[in-house]
Amino acid sequence: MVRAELLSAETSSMFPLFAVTIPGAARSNHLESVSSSADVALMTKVANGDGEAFAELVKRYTRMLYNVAYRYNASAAEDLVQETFLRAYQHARTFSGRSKVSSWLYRICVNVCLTYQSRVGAPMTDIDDVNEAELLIREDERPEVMAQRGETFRALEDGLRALPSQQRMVFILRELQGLSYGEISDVLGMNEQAARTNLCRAKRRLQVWLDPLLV
Amino acid sequence: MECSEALDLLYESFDAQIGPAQQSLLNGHRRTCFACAATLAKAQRFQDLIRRVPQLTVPRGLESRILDHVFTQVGRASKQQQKVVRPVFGWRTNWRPAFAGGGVLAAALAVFFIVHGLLAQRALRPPDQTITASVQGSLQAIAPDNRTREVAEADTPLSTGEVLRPTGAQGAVVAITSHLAVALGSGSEVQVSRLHLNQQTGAADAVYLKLRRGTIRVNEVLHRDVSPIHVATNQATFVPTGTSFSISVKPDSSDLSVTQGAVQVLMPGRSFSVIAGHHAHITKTNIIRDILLKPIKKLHLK
Repeated sequence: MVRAELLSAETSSMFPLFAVTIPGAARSNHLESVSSSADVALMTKVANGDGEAFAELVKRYTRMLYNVAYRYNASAAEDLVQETFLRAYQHARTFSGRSKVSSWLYRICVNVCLTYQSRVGAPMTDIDDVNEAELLIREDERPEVMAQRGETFRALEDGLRALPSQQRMVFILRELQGLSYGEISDVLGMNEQAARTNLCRAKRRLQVWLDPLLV
Repeated sequence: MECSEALDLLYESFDAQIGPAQQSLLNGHRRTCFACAATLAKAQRFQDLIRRVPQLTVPRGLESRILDHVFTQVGRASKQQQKVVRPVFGWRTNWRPAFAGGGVLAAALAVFFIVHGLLAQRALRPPDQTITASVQGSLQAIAPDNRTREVAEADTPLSTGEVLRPTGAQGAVVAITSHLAVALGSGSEVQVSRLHLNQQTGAADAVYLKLRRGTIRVNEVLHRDVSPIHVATNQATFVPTGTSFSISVKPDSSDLSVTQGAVQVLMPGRSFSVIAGHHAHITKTNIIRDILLKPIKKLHLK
């Protein structure tokens, strides 16, 4: 309910330019359009230590990265985004202009998330490892209960966080951020077919998890 | 066509990733296979659900916190435009194969000291923010340098690193903002582990408390922020989502009781929600949850 309120309250003034990177996919409008030359100019300034340019970079891309980090690990989302921008600032000179700034930042963010996950040493619970008895006990987290409370999206987020890391990230980038398979392949360093396979597996698991909601 | 293949094809069709021939096969399967009709229908509803997932708004003040963090880490005194000074290493310009080993060693040491410096800087980061809170009742505020002050029924500055101890038998209430107040039980001890101010309004937009001892009760009025307060114990971090709840901590366990709204509990490797009318007892190895006044159910952690 809170989130719906937030959505209705927000305007597109933050990101006046929207781009559709996947034909027919409504989700794609979450990526803003920055022309290649504008990308290069901005990153050149950042690489030269221009604080204003870096502030502009943060303004443009914080929301995009926060959405990825939050869906990956809600409790550490802010830290993950901060670390992403720190690395972006420190390595701005490595931006070659061959990819969009958003793709470059996604790649850093994904690395930060995956590194964080391995560093904390506590693998997320795999959805398939949760036994039936435990699911029955966790009754206030069951999707049907959440649905009654109007928390459909929270049920989806909980299921998402129980996915294996790679499947979770592919799902976030494709379904929630609207990246093309080509971009996902570039960001995650896997081929497009592997990205498709991971997405199908993620969806199968999530659909089972959310089954009571899909009536 | 197997039903599982049909499901994968359907997922791919949502992405416009299948050709006419595959689409025809899928349509044929959907018409004739009653066994998977329900699953495919649910897949369609699942896809509709995914499309409605809202994009999150950025927590208030996050952009300025990012800039603070980055500029602090790279050792910049201000956010003004500055030319980055890049040191020129003599060994690099005068590099010869014979000195390669020395160069590598120097580089390794440089990396070590830079990383060490960054970590130390991060760990020893001084109190960075102060807000004004309103205290009802009486408490003792202990600064990181052990300076102590007594506060009773008055406004008081509150800074990162400070420890609060109620001194009266009734405890104390600390109103942090107009929509957020915490009631500290008698004998409890809370540390303000992190505070962040909204640069425009001067109000707190992120508050992290560490409950060391006793009980804390949090009352938060619904507003536009995303989780503006986190309460951490040794076992978990508690994030309210517009709610009223209390937490009690002992050396080996934490107890959470939610009276209104819901609280998300974040632990290493898992997170779960506790809704109004429920209680959770958390130790390092177990989470015991129950509906208040009903028999306890036990959940074993792996």
